[in-house]
Amino acid sequence: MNVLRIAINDVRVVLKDRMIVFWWLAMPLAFILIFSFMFRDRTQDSTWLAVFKFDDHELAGILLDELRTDRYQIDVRASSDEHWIDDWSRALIIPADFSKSVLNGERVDLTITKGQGSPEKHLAAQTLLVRTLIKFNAAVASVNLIERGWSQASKDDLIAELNKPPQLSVDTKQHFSLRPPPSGFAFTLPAYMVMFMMMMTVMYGGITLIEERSAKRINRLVATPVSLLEIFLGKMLGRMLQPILQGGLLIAAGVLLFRVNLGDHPLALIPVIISFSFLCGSLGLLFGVVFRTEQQVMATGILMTMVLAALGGCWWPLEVAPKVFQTIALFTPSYWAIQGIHDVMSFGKSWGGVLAECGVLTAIGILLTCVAIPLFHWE
Amino acid sequence: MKEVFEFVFPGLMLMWVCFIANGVFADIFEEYKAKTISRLICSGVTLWEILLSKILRCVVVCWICEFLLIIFTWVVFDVGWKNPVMLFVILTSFNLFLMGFLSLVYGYSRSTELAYGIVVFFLLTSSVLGGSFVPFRELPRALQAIGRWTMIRMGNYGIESIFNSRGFWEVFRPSLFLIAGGTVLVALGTTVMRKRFESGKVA
Repeated sequence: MNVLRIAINDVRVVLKDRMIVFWWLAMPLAFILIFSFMFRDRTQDSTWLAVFKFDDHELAGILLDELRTDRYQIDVRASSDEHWIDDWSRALIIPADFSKSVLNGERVDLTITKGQGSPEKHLAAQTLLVRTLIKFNAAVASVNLIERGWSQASKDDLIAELNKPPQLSVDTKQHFSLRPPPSGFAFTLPAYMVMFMMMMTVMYGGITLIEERSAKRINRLVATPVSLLEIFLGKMLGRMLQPILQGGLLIAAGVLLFRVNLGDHPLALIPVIISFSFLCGSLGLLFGVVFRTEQQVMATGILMTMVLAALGGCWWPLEVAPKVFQTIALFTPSYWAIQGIHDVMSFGKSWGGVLAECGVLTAIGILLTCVAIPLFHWE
Repeated sequence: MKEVFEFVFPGLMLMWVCFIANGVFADIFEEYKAKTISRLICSGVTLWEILLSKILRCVVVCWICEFLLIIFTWVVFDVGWKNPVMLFVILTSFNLFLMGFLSLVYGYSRSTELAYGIVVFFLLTSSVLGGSFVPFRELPRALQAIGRWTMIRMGNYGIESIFNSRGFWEVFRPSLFLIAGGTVLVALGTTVMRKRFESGKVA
């Protein structure tokens, strides 16, 4: 009972801080929101292609219609916009003599400009152009357009030929499982939740312990009929409840504000959050017993949690990191916490599927607690 | 992979230095509370000199930190740092601006705890917008428009320009902003801090 009383009091002290809403909720949510734009599923994005059509003939219009397919945004611009061409990532130029040359059977070169921008998008635009030109050339040859010349009948035949379904097509799959890899909010919510849970518990957990020690509050607690073990466990539980509360709030905010899907077994998040909170609590306690001033806790705490967050895969997906970093990540608690949360939220795992992650987090937590016990002091 | 590191490390290094400098800067207030500054004043040194020396100490710590990070990334990750003279100019101008920012925030805040909170908030936001967490070009356009005015982006742009062998003006231009802004901020910040120390209103 004493343990619970001490723990609840510690949480109450933290909640009294006016900045708590900002550090626990506003700041992580801002990070989650900003970074979700960067980690969104780009395979669904459309590719923008500006087009300057200097040829007014119908044939150029038919070519343009062929370019208009799914996931491509064909933006036909007036010739007066030509001075912007250097600022654009790419633009296609259809020359004024395009139709005339095609109908005369002469070679025509279309130009595609390349500015600054994603190389993948440029490649996608080039692919679209090549694919369209192959189809267009085949249709022109098939309806014998050069010999027949431009007429309503040849135009209708050309359009009909172009509208025929392809005999051979390629269906591209971006991932090889039924569940797509986490992106957008599904990536940033677990990542920044883990980072801020760790950071805030280290900061608040460490600082409040130092404050209590300097104000002799632990001294007075020792004088009461409460055993030292109860005090230690109370402090530990208090620091464990903080990340549980923060994590719960962030998950609730993620579901309500960002419509994040918690997976098929959302209750399986509970053991992951509890085991990670135990780790955070023991880390906060360790910081409180090792360091003597608040400045030391703040400076070291922020740097350490950011290193662990970066190495553990909170800042970018580990798949893009070199092999060495993927191996180093295995030794960080943030990695196991993120894996556990992703397993439940993104890969539909249940209680049994997160046992390994919970085990590793609890083991690290026990190790840190074992280090903190002999160092715990109240003077 | 080397190119990726060249993209990532400068921003991370600048963010790192910001947080380390913040911890070192806060020591001025610890020394004030421990009456070290009062004793120094008794020895005939002016408050101006003390404050400037503390700022200089902080700049030196930043230099050491930057030097070690550069050596570390060069040896371990083979990051090809070029043009040491311009690199020194960029990092020094960045440190100057950082000192100005810190002295102003610490000078105006009612307590060191509040100052610490404000600084951490600004540094985290500035790191996000300045491209320390993810490459600046990956940020949405609206955030890039704000982010390009952060000190981290300015420093980062200078280093990026060195890596991309851009012209002298491209390399030096952000440093010029940082030097001008930093000088004004340091002047303002030390004035405010001096007044606070003289009035004794340090919590």
